[in-house]
Amino acid sequence: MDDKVWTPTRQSNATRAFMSVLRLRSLAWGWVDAPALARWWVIDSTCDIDVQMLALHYDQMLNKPEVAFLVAQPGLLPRPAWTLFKIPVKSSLIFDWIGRRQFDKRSSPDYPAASVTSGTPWRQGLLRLKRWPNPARYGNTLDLIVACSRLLGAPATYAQVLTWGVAAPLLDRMLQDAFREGLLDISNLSRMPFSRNQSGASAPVTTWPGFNPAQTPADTSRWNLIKQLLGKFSFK
Amino acid sequence: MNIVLGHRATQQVAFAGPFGVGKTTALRAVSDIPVSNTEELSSELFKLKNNVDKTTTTVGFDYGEWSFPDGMRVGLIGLPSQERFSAMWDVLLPQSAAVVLWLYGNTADALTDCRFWLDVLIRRGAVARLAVALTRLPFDASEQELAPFRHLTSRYHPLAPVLTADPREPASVMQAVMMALSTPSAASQV
Repeated sequence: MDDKVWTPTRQSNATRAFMSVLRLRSLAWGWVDAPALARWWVIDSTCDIDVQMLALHYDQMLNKPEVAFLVAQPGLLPRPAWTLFKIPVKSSLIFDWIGRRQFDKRSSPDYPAASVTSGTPWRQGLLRLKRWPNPARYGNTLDLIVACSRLLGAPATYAQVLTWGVAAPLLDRMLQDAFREGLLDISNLSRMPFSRNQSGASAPVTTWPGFNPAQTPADTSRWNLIKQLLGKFSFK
Repeated sequence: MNIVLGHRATQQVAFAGPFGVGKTTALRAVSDIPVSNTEELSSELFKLKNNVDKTTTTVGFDYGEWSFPDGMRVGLIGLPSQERFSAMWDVLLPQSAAVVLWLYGNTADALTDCRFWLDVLIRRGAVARLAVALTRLPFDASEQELAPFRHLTSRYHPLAPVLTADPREPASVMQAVMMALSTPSAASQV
């Protein structure tokens, strides 16, 4: 993702606060000195700047940036495509704005095609979660939580996950959301190293390089507690 | 108040978070025993920014318990929220098997509170098994609403979960506890 930001008001408190929020999302965000080099503009209209001149410059650009226009009071935007933020800006609004801009970009015909097939790409290959989804969306199912925990720690196929006791429709919903939100890694089974079992047939290795599933006494105690809680609190 | 000395639990789960967020409520929702309550009248906190009806505060800690058929007992600890009781944090947090950090999801100070409590937890070595539970948000809150908390939390533990939860609902509380317990360990980054 292009994380280059330009602003004519780098010293303003509102601009610096905006940048701080961007850096919460990713440390890759950085200032550039030329407006033409930036994918994102942040303009603090409360500073002494020539907004009309900036708008004219924007009009002349072939690849137009996304513009955050910071204001003290809501008013007219210099350009309809700009996004108005009232100071002090809420971080959730900034994240929402970035997310929607990225979604719009992915939806455009010029965006590179996805490398996996559409539909249910998680049904092929090895799955691994990059971070937890919000399980509250799927009702209160502790089996799903344990499945997510296992997918965070080591990859598994869709078929393997189903053997962990999660209902297929629920699993599909979670994986679909995770895939859409960029939480799911899907790797091609054929690219994983193979080992040969005793009969000589090859079988996929289902651990990432460097993954060590060794159980310490503390781990054993913890998983014992998890199993006990599953038995005690399986809300059906 | 019944004094709890030398309790029989071999493990404990701690609930932490700001005043009035629902730690004691969550504890009561899932405890097998009546929660030993160390709340005292809090006259100076009579009117609060988030809960005008709350007039008490936990001055020691709240204690609940789970019991299991094999005789195992797990303690449930509700930490006092005020910094003047931080000595309790020093004692209770390092020995907790998991921590659920309860936070208001819908206030202007939410991220500030989140950072404060994450700093409290990491200084006491209590982020390895952590879940951040956000209250007062819809259960299907969008990824964008959760994103600021996710990004902040990930700087303390890259895999710690952030979820929406209701401390009044036992199933919701258990979801948070299970996520905290079952999060794979990872080195914290702060």
